[in-house]
Amino acid sequence: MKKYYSSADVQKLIKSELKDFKFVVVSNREPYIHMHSPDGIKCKLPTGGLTAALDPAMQACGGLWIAGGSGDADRQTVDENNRVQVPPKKPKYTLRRVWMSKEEVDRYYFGFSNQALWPLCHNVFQKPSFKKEFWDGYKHSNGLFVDALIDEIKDEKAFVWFQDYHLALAPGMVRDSVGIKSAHFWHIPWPPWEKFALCPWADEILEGLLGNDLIGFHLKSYCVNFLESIEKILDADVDQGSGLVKYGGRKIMVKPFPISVDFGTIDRFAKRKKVEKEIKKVRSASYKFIGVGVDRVDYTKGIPERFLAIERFLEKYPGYQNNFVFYEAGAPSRTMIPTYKKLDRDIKKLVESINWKYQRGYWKPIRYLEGKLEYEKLLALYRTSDVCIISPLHDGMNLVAKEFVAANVENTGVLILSKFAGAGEELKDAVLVNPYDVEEFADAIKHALDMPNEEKENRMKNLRLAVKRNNVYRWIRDFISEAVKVL
Amino acid sequence: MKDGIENLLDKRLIVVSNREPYIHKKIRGEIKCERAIGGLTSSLDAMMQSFNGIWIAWGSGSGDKEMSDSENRVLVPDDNPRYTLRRVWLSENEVSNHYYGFSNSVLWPLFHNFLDKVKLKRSYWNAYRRANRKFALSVLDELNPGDLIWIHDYHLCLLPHLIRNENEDSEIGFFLHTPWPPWEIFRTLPMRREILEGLLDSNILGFHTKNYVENFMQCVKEEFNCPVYMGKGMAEINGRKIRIGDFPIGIDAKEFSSISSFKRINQRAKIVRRRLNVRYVVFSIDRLDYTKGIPERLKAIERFFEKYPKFRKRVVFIQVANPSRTKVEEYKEMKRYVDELVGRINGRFRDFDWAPIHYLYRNISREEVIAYYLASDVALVTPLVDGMNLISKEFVSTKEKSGVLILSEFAGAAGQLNDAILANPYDFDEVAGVIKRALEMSNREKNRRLKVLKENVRNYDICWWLKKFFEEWIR
Repeated sequence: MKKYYSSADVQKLIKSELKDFKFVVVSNREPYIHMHSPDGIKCKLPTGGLTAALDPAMQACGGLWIAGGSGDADRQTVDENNRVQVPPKKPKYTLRRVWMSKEEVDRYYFGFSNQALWPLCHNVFQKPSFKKEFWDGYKHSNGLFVDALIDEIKDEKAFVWFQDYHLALAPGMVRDSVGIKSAHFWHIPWPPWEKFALCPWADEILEGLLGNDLIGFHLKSYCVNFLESIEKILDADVDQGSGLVKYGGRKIMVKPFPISVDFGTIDRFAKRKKVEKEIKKVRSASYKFIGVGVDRVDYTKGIPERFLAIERFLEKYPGYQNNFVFYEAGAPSRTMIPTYKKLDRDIKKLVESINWKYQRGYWKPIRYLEGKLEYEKLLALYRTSDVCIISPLHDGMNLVAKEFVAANVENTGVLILSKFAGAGEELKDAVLVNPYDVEEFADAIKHALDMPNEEKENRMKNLRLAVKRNNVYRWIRDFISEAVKVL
Repeated sequence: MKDGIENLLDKRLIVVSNREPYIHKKIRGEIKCERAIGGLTSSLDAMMQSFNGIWIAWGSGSGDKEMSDSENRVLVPDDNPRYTLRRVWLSENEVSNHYYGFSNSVLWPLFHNFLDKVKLKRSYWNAYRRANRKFALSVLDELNPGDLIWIHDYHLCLLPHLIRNENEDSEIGFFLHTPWPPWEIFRTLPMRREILEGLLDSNILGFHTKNYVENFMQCVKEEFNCPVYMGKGMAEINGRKIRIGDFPIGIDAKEFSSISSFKRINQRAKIVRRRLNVRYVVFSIDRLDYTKGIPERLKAIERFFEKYPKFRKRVVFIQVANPSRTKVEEYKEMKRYVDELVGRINGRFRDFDWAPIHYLYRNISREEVIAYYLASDVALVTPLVDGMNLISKEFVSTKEKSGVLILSEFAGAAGQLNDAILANPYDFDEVAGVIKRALEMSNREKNRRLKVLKENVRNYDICWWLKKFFEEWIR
């Protein structure tokens, strides 16, 4: 087996193994967004590891990507078939956009996807909201994606790769079309079956997913939960050992594929001059220790728990007051949902009260940077920080942890990572914490800052090796290789 | 009660629980003895009365101290003493941090998969340990060689370990009356290891359902990486073998069916019917607790009247909510929300001579409850999660004919009561639909279902439960 995989390997694999198939990716988020700006229409790449990782694969095989149109200039840039060739400067593949009205987005995206499935699949603080109109909207919008898909494929042979929890019903809907083989990657956790069974439409969702030939999750334990759900809710024949499901006269494979980041690119970018300039700025305040956290503002991310641990740390070990600054980059998200709005407010209040309690002169313990950070600044923080704290209460994988590792090119940082992030299973050389345990968490921060340089270096080297080996191209390659077996 | 167990139990029994079976209350200078309500204490009380022995529990009544001797003991029942109640005194701080705190703001929500309601404070855990130590001292003080110690419920998870530490050869049984959560929920508890170690010093551990046993075994396996044997119902840790099994608790079905034939109770049921003056009566009674799904049920009722307007003015829903843990913020909030919902729904549908929901926020006597059972066509029992749920069993054993039980598929009892109409309480449309179905069900089907249900509740009653637990223990 090769040691490190690159985008070229993925291209080769798709070209050779999927040559008889049209390669189609279906996701909610699009890889290229067209937006109006004072200088005319601009094309933006969304952040988010997934789209960035799949884009090179698509460019290589010239396939088709079906996604929801979300930019305000998206409609002006497509042809009469709702298609646009991307990347705009050097077209390599087709992006087909699916249109949804505001009402449709409310029910499908903000509603069922993010107020029912998201909290249902994460074991945290939020009760799912199973509204009938959300569910109807979800079904309806899954249908829109499927309509576009069938329209594009007609009767060609196609291999379709569905992404994530927004599209659980689509695979079942296309099942009957001849010539389509499909696979699905579920990017969030799968809960224990007794929790999943709370959903009034649990059986329909499972049946939808079983329309695929292959279903992937990040971890073995999510696969176990998923298989158990199928066994108990659908009474299907399941082999936990091999991950094989027999249902409705068909065979479906369920396997773990831990996703990752593009290690090589991040590593290269982090070494740029621009990043070094930013580091000088960050370090100019001359505090001894710097910490960093980066999250979408979401109740699964454990942001208040992290701040409470920092507060406890400063209280328990007052020697670090005036000496330690924590930068938190929180990107507001899903703000149309009341819970998210409230969380955003609560976090700001908490930061204010902790800062007020401890601040002395110019020093404040927490610097809350709202909104999206420029990429160079982000890389600078990753590269120079003494500690990066990632403390989700539950997280499918968590790519920020892996990004930090990929960008920490001098091996000087320590990663504190929640035991309940999927990444915790691979990143054994991180300092693992239970984010609910404020004492343990506070002690872990001290432990990380006091760690001898040699130990820091050893741990970070191991972490970097793990991420480099298991990079995102390896993920795509493993998934496609497995999918090829079921074609 | 004695039948079938007496030859098993030639040893003295020490029962330990947080709640006491008899409470002495000071009311205007006079001390009155009250029998505690609640399924558990009343059924164990009947057992203790036939076997004597000792019951150790928290003395929570305002007259408890005055009525206990210098050893903190009192003979109960006071009109006809049959066994000893030994009281443990908890300070105010321990009550708020052990009982309201760790037990009811951490373990209760955690064990019911309500992670969002878990509120953990440092002081809670310390008080929980302290209170468990107090119980341990009382047990050790009473303990004679050969005694059986039977510990109940989530307030006392550390007790088996504390006792075994001092007295290696103790015979300890533990029964948990709540669910046990999946590992992915349980692992979030910082002191999970201590809780498991506490429990695993029992000789036998009992849960209501197989599913809870599976979850518990999984937790033990993940935490200690030790062998567990699902089929045999056993775990092995540090060379000790612990039996772990499911023992679904039952009720005293005979007593319920005999009370339900009392004339005065039937009279009362008739009055309820006459006063309500509608075609159908649907009944629900719960502790006001977020696990019981009261708001979800009310919303389903609203959906029912929305979807099937012909039932307006023809059905009344009675909802009794027993005040509970009123000092905990989550419960206060729940009460406000339920009050508001009832007001909103009644406001939306009521007419000058009819209101859809009759809401009673108070405790009512057992006889009153049974009268309501008798007066109702349907019992609507829809908890979001419930260790077992005894209301469903009580209703079934009270009704002689034509009562329909609607039961949440997430109640432990759903595994036994297959002939109830099962529904998902989160699915308002489904619940609205099954209410309609229950009201329109033919008498033949009603009677057939009820007959099967009654038989089940009668066969798997409280005596069966006790016998099964002791057989497994002493085997």
